[in-house]
Amino acid sequence: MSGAQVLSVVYDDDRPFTLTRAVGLLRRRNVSIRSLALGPGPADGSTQLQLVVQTDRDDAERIAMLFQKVVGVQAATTFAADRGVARELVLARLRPPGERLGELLDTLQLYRAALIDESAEAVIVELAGEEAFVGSGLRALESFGIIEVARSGRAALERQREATA
Amino acid sequence: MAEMLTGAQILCRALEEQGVRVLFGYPGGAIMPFYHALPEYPSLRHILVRHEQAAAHAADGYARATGRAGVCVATSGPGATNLVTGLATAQMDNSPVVAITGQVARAMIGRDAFQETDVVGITLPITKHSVMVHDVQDLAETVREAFHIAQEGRPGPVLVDIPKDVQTARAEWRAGEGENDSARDAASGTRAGAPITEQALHAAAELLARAERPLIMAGHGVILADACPELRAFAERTGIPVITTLLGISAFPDGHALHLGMPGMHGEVHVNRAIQQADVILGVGLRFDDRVTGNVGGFARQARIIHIDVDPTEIGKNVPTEVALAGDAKQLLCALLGRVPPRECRAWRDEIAALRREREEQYRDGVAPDRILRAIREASGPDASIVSDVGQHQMWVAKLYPYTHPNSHFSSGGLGTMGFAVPAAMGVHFARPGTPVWAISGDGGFQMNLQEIATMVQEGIPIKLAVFNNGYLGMVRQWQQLFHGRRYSATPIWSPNFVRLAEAYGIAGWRVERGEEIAGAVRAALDAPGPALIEFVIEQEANVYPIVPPGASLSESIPDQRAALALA
Repeated sequence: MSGAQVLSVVYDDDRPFTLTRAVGLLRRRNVSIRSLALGPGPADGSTQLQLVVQTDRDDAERIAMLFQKVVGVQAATTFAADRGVARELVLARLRPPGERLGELLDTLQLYRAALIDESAEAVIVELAGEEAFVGSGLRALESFGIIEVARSGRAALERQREATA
Repeated sequence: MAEMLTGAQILCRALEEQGVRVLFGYPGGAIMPFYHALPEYPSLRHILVRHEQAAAHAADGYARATGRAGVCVATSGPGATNLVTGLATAQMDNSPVVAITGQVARAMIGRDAFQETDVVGITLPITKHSVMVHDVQDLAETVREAFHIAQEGRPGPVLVDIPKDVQTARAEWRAGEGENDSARDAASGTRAGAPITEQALHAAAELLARAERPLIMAGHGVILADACPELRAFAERTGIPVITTLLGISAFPDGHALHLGMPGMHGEVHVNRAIQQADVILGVGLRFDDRVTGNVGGFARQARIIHIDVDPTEIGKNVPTEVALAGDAKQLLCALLGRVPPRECRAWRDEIAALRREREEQYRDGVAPDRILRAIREASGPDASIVSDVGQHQMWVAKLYPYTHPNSHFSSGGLGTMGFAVPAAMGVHFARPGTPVWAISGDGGFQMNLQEIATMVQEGIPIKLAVFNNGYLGMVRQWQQLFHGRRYSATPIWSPNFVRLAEAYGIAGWRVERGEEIAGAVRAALDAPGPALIEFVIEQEANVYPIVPPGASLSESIPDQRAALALA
C-alpha cells in the first residue's frame, strides 16, 4: 500500500558524497522526496538524514537495504509514517504587527508558537508540530503578512520500535 | 627512516601491493605524474590502448577471467568520460574493475579548468563506489579500500579520482597491514544479509526434496563465487536439471546429461517450457533479469522460488521468493547438499527430454554460425576463451558453442555493450597467456573498437578476431523484420575490406565466403603467431531463434522462421 514512508540514514561525515548517493538512489527509482532533514548523527562523526517519501512498504524496505549497500552508510531504517510521530520546525518572518500585537500573541499562543526576533522591519516567529498543524498555524498567520518562511523538514520517530533481530 | 614518496609513486606501490601485474590505460595532462613514476615500477606492465573505453573493457575482461580486480587508467576530462561505458558494463555484470583517473589540481576544481570534469559525480550511479582523493596521506589507504570494495561480496567497479597535485605531493609510504579488511568492511558499508537460519536451509531442502518438477537456474554468481564444482555436485546428487543464464554459461558443462541450456528471450523452447512447468526453482547467483524472465507476470507461475544471492537486495526484487538465502553460493550449495536426499528426477527429466526438438537447420549451408563455432572449438580446444560482443552472433556464440571449462565464455550481458569483445579479449589474454582467446563480433560491434588491433600489434597480444559479417546491425534488423513491419531503418551497415584492414595493421586476415574454407581459415588464424582476423560472410538475413517477443511471456516463444513468418 502506497503511503508516506520515513527513511532514516546514518552515515560517516567524512564521506560527503554519501548524501548525493542516497538522494540519487531515490531519483533513479523515481521516488519523490516530500521532506528531507539533515542533522548530526548519534555518534561523533556521523550525520543523520531523515527522508519522508511517498511509496509502498516493500519499496521503502528495499530502498533501506540499498542505502545499506552505499559505502559510508552506517545504518538505514524505515517505518511507515503513520506508525510514528513527526514534527517540523517552521520559522516565519512577518510584517511588524503594530497595533495587532495582542492579536498576534493570542494566535501564537493558540499554536504553541513563539515570537523569537523583532526589528523595525519585521518579526520572526517559530512554530513546530506535525505537518497539518504547522500548515494550519501558517494559514492563521497569513493575515499578519508573511514575508518569508523557512521549514526544517520533518524529524520522525517510530512510536514503538519494532523488535529487530 | 620512513620513505617519502610522491603520490604517483605511492599509487604505483599500492598497485604493486595489490598484486597488479597489468594496467590498461592512456596518458594525458592530469595523470602525467603517475606516468612519470610508472617506469620506476617495472612489475606494473602498462598496455597503451587506443581509446579509454577499451581500457575499461580490457580491465573488465581481465577481472572476469581472474576473479581479481582489473585496472584501467585515464586522464581527466575526456579520458575519464571515455571510461564511462566500460564502467557501466562492469557494474551491470558485477566485474571488479578499479579505474584510476587523473583530475585537475585541487585549486582548479570547480573552475571549469581545462579537461576538468566531475567524473566522481558522473560515475556515481554506474559504479559500486567512486571517490576523489583530497590528501596524499589518504592515497594508499584509498587504493587499498578501492580494491577491497571492488572484489568483496558482490563485485563491481570502483573509481579513484586523483588530482594532479595530489600525485606530486609527498607523503610517507607505509605498507598495508593486510588485516584491515574487516575494518574496511565496516567503513565501506559492506553488510552481510540477515544470517542464514537453519530454518531457511531446511525449508529450501524440504521444497527441493518434495518437488516433482524442480529446476536449477544458475547465473554469473556461480562463477563469481567459484561454485561450479558445488553446483555440479548438487545437481548430480539431486538429479535436478540445470539452466544457465547468458552469464552463467560455462558454470555447468555443456553436454552434461543434466544441462538444459539458456533460458529467456532466446532460450531454447524446451528450456522455457520447463521453466513454465516447474514447481520449484532454485535460482543461484542470478537476478531474474527481464531477458531471462520475459514478461515477469507470466514467469514460472507454478514455481516456488528459492533464491541464493550474495546481495540480499536482489532477493525478491524481480520475482517473488519463497525461500531467501542471501550469502555465498559456494557455502550455501554445500550446506544444501548435506540436507537433500539423492534422487534422479527421472520422470521430470523424461518430460523435458520429450519437449526437446532437434534444432532446425536455420542457416543456409555454407558459412553458417554453427559450422563456424564448431570449427573454432575443434581447432582451439576446450581451454579456449570465447569473448563475444552484442547482437545476433552473441546469441549464436552463447547457444551453439560447447563450453566445458568453467568461466570460458565472456560477454556483456547486463548492459549489452557493443564493442566489448575486442578490448575485453585483450584483458582475458593477460589472465590466460598461452591459451587461445577469440573475440567474436558482428560487423557492427567490431567497428566500434577495432582500433584496438593496433594495441594488440604494439603489445604482442595474440587475439584471434572473428567477425560475423552480414551487412546489417543484425539483431535490430531482426526486430525490425519481426516486430516493425520489415522497415530496415538505419540497420544496413557498410564495412571496409577487413582483409586489407588486417593488412594495414600488419596482421594476417582471411575472408571466408564458402563453408569449406572455414576450418582452414580458423586453423591458419590460430597458427599465426600474433593477432589474426577472419571475416565470415554469413547469410544477410539469418535470424536468431527461438525468440520471445519483447513484453511477452516465456510461453509465447516463436520457435523458428516458419512460425515467425506466419505471425508477421
